Order: sequence, then C-alpha cells, then structure tokens
Amino acid sequence: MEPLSKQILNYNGANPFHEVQVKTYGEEKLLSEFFPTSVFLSLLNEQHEVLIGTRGSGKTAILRMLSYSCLRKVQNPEVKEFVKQHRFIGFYIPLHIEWMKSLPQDPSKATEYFQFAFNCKAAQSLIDEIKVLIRDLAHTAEKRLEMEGRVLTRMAKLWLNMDPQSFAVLEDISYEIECRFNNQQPWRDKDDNSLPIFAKPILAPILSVLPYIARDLGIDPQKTHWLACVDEAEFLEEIYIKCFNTFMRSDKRPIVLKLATMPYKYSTRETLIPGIMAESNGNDFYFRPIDLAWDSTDSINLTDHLANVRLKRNHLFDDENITLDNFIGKIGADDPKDYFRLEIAAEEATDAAILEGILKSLSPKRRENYEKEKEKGGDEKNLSQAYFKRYSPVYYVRRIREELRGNRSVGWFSGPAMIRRVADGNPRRFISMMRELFESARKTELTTKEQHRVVTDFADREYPRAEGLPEYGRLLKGILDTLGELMSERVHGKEMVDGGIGFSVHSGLLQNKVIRSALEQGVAYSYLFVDGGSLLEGFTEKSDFRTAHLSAVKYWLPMRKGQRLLLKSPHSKQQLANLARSAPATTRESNTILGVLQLSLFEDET
Amino acid sequence: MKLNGLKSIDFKQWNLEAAGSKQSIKRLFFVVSGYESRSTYWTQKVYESFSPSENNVWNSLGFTDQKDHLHRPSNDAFYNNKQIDIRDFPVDDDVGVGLYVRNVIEKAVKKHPNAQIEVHVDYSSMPRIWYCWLIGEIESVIRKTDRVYFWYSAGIYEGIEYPTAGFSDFSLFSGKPSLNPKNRTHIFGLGFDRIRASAIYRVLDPKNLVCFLADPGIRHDYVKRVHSDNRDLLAVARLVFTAPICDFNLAFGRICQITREFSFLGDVILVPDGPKPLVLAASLVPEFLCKAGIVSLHVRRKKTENSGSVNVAPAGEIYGLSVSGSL
Repeated sequence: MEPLSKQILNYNGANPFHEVQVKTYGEEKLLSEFFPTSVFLSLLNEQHEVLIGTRGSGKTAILRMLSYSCLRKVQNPEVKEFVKQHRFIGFYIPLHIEWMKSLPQDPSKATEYFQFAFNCKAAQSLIDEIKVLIRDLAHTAEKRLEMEGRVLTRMAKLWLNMDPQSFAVLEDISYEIECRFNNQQPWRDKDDNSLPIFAKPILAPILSVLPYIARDLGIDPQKTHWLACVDEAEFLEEIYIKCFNTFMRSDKRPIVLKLATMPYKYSTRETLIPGIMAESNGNDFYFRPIDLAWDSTDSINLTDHLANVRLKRNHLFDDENITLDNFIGKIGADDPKDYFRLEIAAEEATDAAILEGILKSLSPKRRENYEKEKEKGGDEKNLSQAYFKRYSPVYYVRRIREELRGNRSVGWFSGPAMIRRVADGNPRRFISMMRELFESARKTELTTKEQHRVVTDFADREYPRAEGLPEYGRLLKGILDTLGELMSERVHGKEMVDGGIGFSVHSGLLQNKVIRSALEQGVAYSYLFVDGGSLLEGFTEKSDFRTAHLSAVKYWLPMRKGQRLLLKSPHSKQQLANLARSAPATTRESNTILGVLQLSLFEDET
Repeated sequence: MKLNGLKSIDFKQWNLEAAGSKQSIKRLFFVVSGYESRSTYWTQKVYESFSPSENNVWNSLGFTDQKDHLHRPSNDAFYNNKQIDIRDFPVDDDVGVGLYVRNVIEKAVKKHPNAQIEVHVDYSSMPRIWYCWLIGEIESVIRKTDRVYFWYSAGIYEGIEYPTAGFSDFSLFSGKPSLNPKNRTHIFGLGFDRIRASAIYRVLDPKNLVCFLADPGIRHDYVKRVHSDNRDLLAVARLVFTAPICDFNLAFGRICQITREFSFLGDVILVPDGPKPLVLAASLVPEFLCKAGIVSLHVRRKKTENSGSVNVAPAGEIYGLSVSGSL
C-alpha cells in the first residue's frame, strides 16, 4: 500500500504538527488529541499520588483531562460510568513559576501565606468545575439557578464570611477570591492571629464546604471523590512540599491529591510536623511514573492517535484510520533487518551472510570461542541464532555506516518503529519529529532515505539542545558527548563487541552532588533513561542507565543495552567529592569540571 | 510608576546644551566603579563640563565583591583621582543602593527647595536589580520640576562566557500574576546569551512565546548574532518584534503596546534580557501599565567563585532617557 504521506506532496497549508504543547490548548483541542492510556485510567482511584514525568511526557494533558469538565467528554466506557456516578470530580491547579515566585522570598517563614495563596487558586478551580457540574445536573434554567444559589450561599458564608445576597452567580465568588488574593500582602508565619480563612492548611477550606456542596448538588458524598490535580509541582520549594505531605499524611478524603512533578524534584517526605514523614509506599501516597516505553501498547496507540488527529485536522485526509505506519509506510515487518536488506546487496544480506559477517568482525578470541562451542557438538542452529541475536544489531549499524562512505545516502534510521524509538515514548518529542517529517513530505517523497535524513537532522538539532538545559545543561551535554564518543569507539572499533547504549555509573561519581544532579537532569529531560526503581528512589551504582535513542542516532549506536559498561573517573571518591560543589555557572566552568573528570567507560565485571 | 514626560535623550546634543545651560541647576551624578572598562566612559565624557562643585555633586557606587576583577582597580583609581568617593554595596543589595541614592537626593531637595534638580545615573555597569529599582525610587523623591536622566554607554563584549540559569535564579521583579490565568504569554528579550536564553525557555516552557531584540542595535553584526544565537527560540516564537536601543521612548512604547495587546488574552510574563536599555524598559512595563496579570521575571546572572567576569569596553555610543519627578 502506498504511504499516505505521498498525498501531501506540494501541500501548502499549515503544518498540523506545529504545536507541541497542550498547556494552553482549549478544551476541544485537548479532548481531540487526548488518548486515554492505561496510566490515565489507572489514576481514577482514591489514592493520593505523585505523578513523576519527564518534560513533554504528558503530565499536563493527563491532569487537565482528570478535571471534571474534560473527563465528562472522554469516550471510554469505564470513564463514562465514573462520570455518570460522579465518582471522581477533578479540578486542575497549575503552579506557574511566576506565581511561585510571587510568594515571599523566605519560604521557610511563609507557609501560612503559601497555604492562603494555594487555597485561593484551588477554590477558583473548584468553582469552574462546579459550574460545569451544575449544567450537567440541572436540566432546566430554574433548577440551575436554584442549585447555583445554594452552592453560592455555602461558599459566601463559609469561605468569605459575607452575605450571599452580595453575589449573583458563582463567578462573583471567584472574583471576590481574586480580589482578596490581590489585596492581601504576604505575611510572615505567626505574625498575625487573625488569619484569612484561606490561610488554613492546604485544601482545608475546600474540604469544609464539600459535604454541603455535595448535598446541594444531590450527589452522594460517600461515593464522590474530589481530585485536586496539582500541576508543575517541580517549582515547589521544599517547605511547600511539606504542606502537601502533611495533607497526604492525614486522611483528607473525599479530596484525593494528584500532584505532577518532574523526576527528582519531589525532594522531601517530611511533613510540617517535625519527625513525621509521609510514606510513599501507599500508606500515604504512591509515586506514579507516567512516561511510556517507546514500544508499549500505550505509546503505539498514542502516537497513532496523535498522527490520526493531527493529519485530519486540516481536512487533509478522509481516511478514518490514519496510523503512523500507513502515513510513513514501512518495509517488511518494520524490523531493522528489513531496512538493512534494503541498503545492502542481496547476497550480503541473507541470514547466513550476516552471520558470516558477524563472525569475521569479532575478535580472534571470540571467533575461537564460537568455533570451540561449535566443535563441542551442541545445537549449531541455536549457537548461530544466539550469536546472530547478540551481534546483529551491532553489525547492522557498523555495516550501514560503512555504506555512507563516498557520499552515499542510506535509509537506516527510518520506518515507523524507528520514529517511535527516537521519540522514546515522549509525545512532545514525537510531535516535533512529525513536524519535520511532515515538512519533508510536502516537498518530496518520504522514502526511507529521506526519513533517515529527517531523523538524523532532527537528532543533530535536538541532541545539542541538552546544553541549554537549566543549571546543569552544559555539564550534562559534556557527559553525553563523552558517553556517545566512547560508546561509538567501542561499536565502530576494529573488532566488533557487544555494544549498545546501556551503562552504569561508578558510586564515586554519584556521590558528587553536581554530577548526580546533571544526570538527574538528563533523565528529567529525556536525554538519559534509567530503571524504574532509580527513577523514583534515586541513583545507585546498580542503576541501569541508557542514553536516549536520540544519542544513538547521533553516534550511530545500536539501540540496545549491550554489554554492561561502567562510567568512571580515575579520581578517588574523596577527590571527586571535592571536585565541584556547586552547579557550574558557565561553559568554562563546565569544561573545567569535565576536563578534570577524565570520564571513561569500562566493561563492568560486577 | 508614572514615567512623567518620558523622553529619549540624544547624548551629544544634551552634553552640548547642558554645558552651557544656566548655572542654577543642581546636578547629582551617580556613577559606578565596576570591573568593566566602560564603567568610567560616561564620566570621562561629561566630567570636564560638570566638575564637582556646589552645583555638581558626584557619587560613585561600587561592588563589595570582585574588587580585584579586570578593570575595577583602574576604575577605582580613576574616581579616586577625581576625589569622587566610592560607596560599595553587595551586588544584590538593591534596597541598600536605593536607600542611599534616595537619601542623597532628599538631602539635596531639602537643601535647595527652590532650585531645579537633575539626577544623572550612569547605569552602564550596574547590575539590573539596581537600575531597574532605582528609576522608580528616584522618580518618587524628585519634584515635577526636577528630572532624572539614565545614561547607557553601549558596550563591546570581550570574550564569551555562556552562563546558564536555573530555577533558583528567577525572581519576580514587578507585577502580580493572576490566580488562574486563562492564557499566558511570555515575552522574552533576547541577547547574546544563547545558553541562558535556552535555559530560561526550558524552565518556563512557554506556549505563547513572543520575542524581542534590539534592532537597530549597538552594531549591525550584533543584531545578526542575536538572530543566529537565538534561532531556536525565534523559530518557535509566535511573534518577533524589534525595539531600537537608541530610542528608549520608542522601545518602551513598543513593549508596552505588545504587552497590552496580549494582556487581553490572559497573563503576560515579561522576561527581559539583552542590552540594558531594553531590560530596563521591559522591567518597567508592569508597574507602568499597572494591570493585574502583567509581571516581569528577572533571571539572576550566576556568579561563582570560579566564573570569570567578562569585560565590556565602550563602543562609543551613549543613549539616554529622562523622566520628571512625581512629587
């Protein structure tokens, strides 16, 4: 079947992949693009959860979709049932950086003001959702007015201590809250005994009205859970995290907290009560990683859905079912071997020829081992398959890269599976790549060679952007460069080895706060990946790292783990501990640290 | 912030006219002894005409740290030779500097109740937190008949440092954000610090990005360099506009106009960077427009004990602005 991308050749309209963020999407656009992954559906529960997601992983989309106004439109039987029963009513509370920075300079003395400001924000968000809820519950204008009047009365009395007659609609309550927030000067903790109502512990004012509101709306307070969806919590100072821990530690149902942050930013389990910690093992809350593996069913469905919705947006296609596969087109079973065979002469691309090539590329010792195993008289087929499986991914990239000599172009980094691999399960990275592919497809046929060109250009452009990451970007980029170069040397050396992109990090390096922070940042922005345990609990020398597939494109590396490698520095733990104590402020400082580090990769014997 | 009678000032013309103007004007000068070689440039240009006297009072502000960096010793010597005392402040002590300057001006106003006062501030080598704060402070203590002048010596950057920025470097300079804005527009000022601009972008992660840059700039090749260094940000910006470095009034008006337009959609977050006159202009917009939801975020320039200071030599041009007092 001809790829659908051919149909957009010479198309002059807007690129539907231009927008990469959902932050300020209108509700309709957000809904059309949203795909209810299993992670999303599993968040509809009664447990406080801290969502851990890298930049661009879809935290905002998930939390916005959990809000009642969006959730009610999700076309999923399970969700529809929840909505019908009013099991979960979510309200979305983003913590924008400028709002966080408008809080007092010394956070340790301003928890009361933070609570006040946060509760004002939360109350406004709740009002927005209640307005929608009332529209759904009351089917006549009279009924709506009556219901709104009852809710308004509760809020006016309990929150604002004002005569309900002063307000006509819920919007007026919201406006009054905004005014109170604007007119309230920050104060230091315990400066004043007559605190505003909203200065109570976080979400307490909301908790105080919910039983009444539930009754006013005619919903069962025992069955309904109110999801407070707090976004961008990576900007929270530690003292404010303690406010949330305190909330989660004490059972505050029917409010359930869903708080999204970036990896390694939820920095404390302490509560506001000294010595009392919030437990992340489910007693108080759970950590929930939300990033998707590139080859997971969720990721495949999500990327197909995004391709389908975006490509139909400009009325480009009538076809009901556009997938990444039928837009890009694929070779054979979309397996690396299929793309290898497209580039290499047929006689060199048979399984037997590939195995022969593998054996020729191995070191004499490894070849000898193979011959010895063979002579032992075991199952030769199994032995060959084992070698084939282990070394063919390395052999392919070595062999294809050789083809590049003499200005020949190849179509290696191409095909739907490769595009998903390079996106690494990150929707934003996927959309960015699709933007480039779309641009190309309207100018020329999206052949495998053209896809390869687009993907390598994308990697060449995206990879160096690591250095522009805040705080540790330059240092991280240096570490990534070192890793890429050292891995490339191994993979493309004279003798073929079991190369890949997996590695672990020596404990000495991890003990240095600056280096560890740079690695954490790499994970937070999807330049590095790490095993699930290390994502939530922090790095150890047993942590399984890998570089992003973006780096694998840049350095022509097989996108597999390979033999375990250890990233090390020749310096002692003591020397490393003293090497860098604060984040390097400039390129020069980063280069100095990298120069001193003398990073190298060793085959890990452990 | 009223910015009464805001005017762009042509330095050459002002220097010519002011030197021959009536002697009854009392002039207060606030200059800086920093580590840049341009620190003394403006003083060198005007000192002859306005040497210290009953009418001309000179004050120099210095930094308590980096006293041995680059041109700081020679700049200190320059002011000492002219018997101008240097009063040192920590780089982040905007309040201390504000109080000091305020105090000097208030004393002068008290001493000369009937004389016209001019306050001249050379902010070329000042940290942004000082000069952005100072203009409001001065405006509020001088009378409608008095004027404050802010002078900027354009600079040539010697050396490239590419500093970065982190979340902790951000601070809200002016304005108050809305509780739950329906929309947010970020307006970035761009300069040479591509790594820093990128770091700011990655922290803020803006959806509606508007960028502005100095054009005409100090030099034509600087404009090109800003375009080239920031091509990634410019590619994703919804709107890019220019503001002339040579005409503060026009630049300020343009930033205000764009801010006002986007403020109808929701909050506007100004993130000034680039040459100081544009940093100043963008920082003053929230206070001037005085509308909830318009804020200016400052991003502190990181200095560590190992990071070097970059010299900025005078390029030759001097740009000025002036406002009258609000009392």
